[in-house]
This record gives sequence, structure tokens and C-alpha cells, in this order.
Amino acid sequence: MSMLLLILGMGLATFAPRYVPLLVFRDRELPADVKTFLGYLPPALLAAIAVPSVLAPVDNRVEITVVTIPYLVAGVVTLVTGLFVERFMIVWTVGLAVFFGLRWWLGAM
Amino acid sequence: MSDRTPTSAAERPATPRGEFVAGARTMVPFLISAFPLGVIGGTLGLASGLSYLETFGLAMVVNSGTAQFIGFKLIAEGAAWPVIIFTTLILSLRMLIYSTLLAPHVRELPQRWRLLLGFGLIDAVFFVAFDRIKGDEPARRKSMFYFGASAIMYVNWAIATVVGMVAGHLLPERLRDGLDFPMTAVFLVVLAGALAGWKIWTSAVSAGALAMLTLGLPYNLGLILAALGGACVGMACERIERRWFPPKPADPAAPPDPSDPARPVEPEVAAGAAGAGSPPDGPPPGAVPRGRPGEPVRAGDRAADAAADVDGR
Repeated sequence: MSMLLLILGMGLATFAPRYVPLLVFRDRELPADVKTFLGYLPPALLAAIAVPSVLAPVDNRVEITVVTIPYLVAGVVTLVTGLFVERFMIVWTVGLAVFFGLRWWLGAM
Repeated sequence: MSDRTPTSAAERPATPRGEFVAGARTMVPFLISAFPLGVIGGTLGLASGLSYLETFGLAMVVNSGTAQFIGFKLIAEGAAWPVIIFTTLILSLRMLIYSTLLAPHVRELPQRWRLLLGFGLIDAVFFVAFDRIKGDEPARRKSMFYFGASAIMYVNWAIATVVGMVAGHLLPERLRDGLDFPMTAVFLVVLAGALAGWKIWTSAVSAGALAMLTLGLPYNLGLILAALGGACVGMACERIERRWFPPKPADPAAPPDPSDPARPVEPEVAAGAAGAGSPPDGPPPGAVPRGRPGEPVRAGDRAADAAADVDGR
């Protein structure tokens, strides 16, 4: 039940920004500063999510173990590959290959 | 609107159905790139501990790849629900930009149509259909093109999600342990695509550092603080650039004034960053995961060209 509410809440959160301007703003344009700020938010949020997942994957602690090394190495490899390669699936697959390869090699799996 | 003088588009015997089909057909390249992401989403939803119904329901209700992926991750981490909803909201804020651009062109549509228009709004659809929407044709007709594009993306995502759930069901047990990484990798790929220029880099690095510093905060609150802080750093970079590296003034009479609200936003920033969000989100999920952040824009341009061909222009 609470999951249902959560999903509906998320639905509302994604729907509101799409619909409210169609309902209210009408002819008004967003101020330039607001647009710029909105442009910076998604990359900032992605970084805020991804960086701790790579640097502190276990219990939010920064440590170097056979469990955390694959996160660190594969995370860096994925990001760097992504800077040079355009295709989403290729970059993603490379990242996963490095991650699971290292896990297997280090015996953490 | 029926008394409008014929335009090239109006000369075509366009039926609403024909418009709908044309819109759907234009999305084919996007369908192909979105499908694998939808599959990944379906698999990761199950791996995050959601049921089949919850995974599918979430994908269909949010109609945003980015929001969906992040929702899975935060649910798996046991984040507090206000944090999950607020994060989803932040990721969807770029839709405000699209929506305000669409608004003046669809104002005569009935309320119910605009509800649907809003629900179906995803990055790829916007880039493809906006050219049509801002044209002179009657609102009802041109919006059919939009609806066709958005409906096919939605159905595509639904099918992909189901395929992903089936695949996830078949996944070996021992692989599930490291299944948070595939999701992290999705975010990293999207992020890498958005990292264009020193301002976005600075903003993203600041957000990452802030997130590390705020890891101890309860309910993943640090996530929100870090994202807002990172975006503020980005704004500060904009100010710095305007003050110390002003662009060649277009008209010398008006020297760059950092506080000038009329100053245009750097389009690359807005477009690139927005795209980023969308890839995962991409799904109709429009958002993000669907492609690299910069890519949807370029792809959109191409697609828009294709749409123009459909028009016979």
C-alpha cells in the first residue's frame, strides 16, 4: 500500500512540471536564470548519486577492500569511457564488464 | 482555424490518423535506442526488490526513465519517501522548460488534451514534435503528431520493461549481489554525456564532493543538498564567466551586465544538461537513460529534419 502511494507520489512529481505550465503559465517564459539553474540540476543530481555509489559503495564508508575496488575502478572506467564514446549501450556494457570481471578476479563473487 | 490560408502542410490531405502515424514513424530511431534502456529498467526494478507489478507500475506511472531508475535505486536503499519524491521532482524540472515552450501553441486545446500532452512529454518527443507544434496548423491536428510520437514511445517502453522483467527473472542468483552497480553505471554514462564545459564539470564535481560530505545525514537528505549546492555552484560559474570572460558583445552599446535578466542563457548548457537528465529518464521515460545528454538534442535535430520531410517541406 505504501509502495502504491510512493509510486503515485513519484508520478505526481514527474507530471507536475510537465503539466503546470500548460495549465497556468500560458504565454510566460521562464526567467533566464531559472532556466540556467534547471539546466545545472540534473548533472549535479546525477553526480550526487553516482559519486558516493562509487567511492563509498558499502555502508557509506570510504574503504579499500576486494568488495569496493570493483566499484571504484569500474566507476572511473565507465565515466571516462563515457566522455569519449557516444553510444550508451557500449559504455554501459564496458563498465559492467570491468565491474563483474574484477569481482570475479578478486574473488568477491 | 479552418479559414487559415493553406500552408505546405495544410495542403496535404492530413487526417488526424495520418498525423498520428507520422508522429509515431518519426520516433523509430528513438524507439531503438530507448528499448535496451527499458529492458535494463525492468531487470533492475526486480533486482531492487520491487514486485513485477510495482516495477511495471512505476515505469508506466512516471513515464520518465531517469525518474524510474533513480526511484529504483533509492527504494532499494530504503530512502525516506519525501526524499524519493523530491529527487524525482528535481529530475523532472527540466520538463518545465519544454512545457513553457509548448504552452502558447496548445492553448486552444481542451483541458483533457493538455493533460495527455503533459503526461506524454519526454525529451525525445519534445525535440521531435516541437517544430510541428509551433507551426501554424490547427492545434488539434498538429497535436496528433505529438500524440503519435509520445504514444509509440510509451508502448515501446512498456514492452521493453516487460522483456526486462522476464530477463531479470532468469538472472543467476549470484549476479544479483552486485546489481547496484549496473544502475550506478547508468547514471555515470548519462553524467559523462552531460559533462561539457568547465561550468558543468565544476558544478558536478562540487555536487559529488558535497554528497560525500553529507553522507552521514539521514534519509539520503544529503543527496538533495548536494544537487542544489552543485547547481548553485554552476550558477556562480555563470556569473564568473559573464564578469571575467564576457562573450564578444553583439552590440557594443550594451556592455555585458551580469545582472541583466534579458541576457540569453547559454543554450548549450541548458540543452546539454537537459539532455542528460533525460537519457535515463528518458523513457518515456524520456529521460535520461535514453541516450547521452547531448545526443538527444542532436538526434532531435535530425529527427526534426525527418519530420520536416514527412511534411513534404
